[in-house]
Amino acid sequence: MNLSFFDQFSSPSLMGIPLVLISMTFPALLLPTPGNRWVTSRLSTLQLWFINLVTKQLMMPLDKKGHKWALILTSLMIFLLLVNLLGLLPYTFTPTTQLSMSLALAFPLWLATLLTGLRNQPSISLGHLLPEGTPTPLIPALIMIETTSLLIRPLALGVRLTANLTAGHLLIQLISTATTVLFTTMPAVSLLTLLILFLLTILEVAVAMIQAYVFVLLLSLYLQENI
Amino acid sequence: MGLEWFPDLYPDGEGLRIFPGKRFHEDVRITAEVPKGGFTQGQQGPLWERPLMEVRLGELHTWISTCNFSPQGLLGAAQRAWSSYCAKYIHVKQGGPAGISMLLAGYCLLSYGWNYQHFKRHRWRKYH
Repeated sequence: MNLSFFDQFSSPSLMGIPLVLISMTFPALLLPTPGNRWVTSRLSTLQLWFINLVTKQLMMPLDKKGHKWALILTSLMIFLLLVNLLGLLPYTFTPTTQLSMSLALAFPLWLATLLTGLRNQPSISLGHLLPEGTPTPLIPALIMIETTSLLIRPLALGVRLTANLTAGHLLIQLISTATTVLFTTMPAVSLLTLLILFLLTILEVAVAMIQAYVFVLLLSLYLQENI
Repeated sequence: MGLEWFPDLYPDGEGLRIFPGKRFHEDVRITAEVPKGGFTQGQQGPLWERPLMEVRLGELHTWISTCNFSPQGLLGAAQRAWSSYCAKYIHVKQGGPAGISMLLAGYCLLSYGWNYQHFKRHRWRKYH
């Protein structure tokens, strides 16, 4: 029984191409490239509005040096948003449920922020390891704690994304299985479970969007400290 | 690129493309309907120049024999098909949800087909 519930996270291949490859490249088809027209389509207008909103929101706390990161952070946000939301459609595969992908996104970007800080302003970056106003006897312990907290950031970023999405997908599968099984014996309870499933799906849509936003927001925060 | 990329200096989306090279212009297909003499009703021109939707069923095998099945030919055909789809459903002034919904439905069907070998056994399991 356990084997069947985790099967949704495997990526079967047909003709040698794993499904994860398609699910990662499909979001590119949903974003139209702006042509050289004055009046664009509704989809292009929506996309432009959304990208402007995201970029303004992310770049406001950063100064001019941080604006170099605008492209990568905005595109990461759009990618994660689309990939998470597409995974809620039936029979589709969500690549961010794989820890390998989340860590592959989190680790290099976090390391880039850290190295930027250490290269350009090493003493300020190291200074973040000790909050202001700590009592002197606590300093060694606090430095070690802050270093651990710094080093665990990429792991936390990746695992947060994967765990939230995986848990959501598993819950949806469990509750829908319960609904189907109960339908023949106790229809009233099955209807209640269906209501719970409906609410859970709304929650999952929200979680998909929030997790993408949190991932990119935390990266911009780490950048803010180090730039 | 950051914020120093000015779209006016790169017309036609030049700096943003994944595949290099000139783009297929969507409005080349829009031509005036000029009736050419000497053809029976329904014939519109040489067989190999017509798009797939205007080829009659009986001529299909002939049309396929004139197709270019090299990688460039197939890639060109795929790009033309995608451009026609976008021009018809997405790049219209008042597009609705239909264009994107068809894409998403196609994606769900594709995923179903990809996973089929895996869950065709689910129907026959006793315990799920």
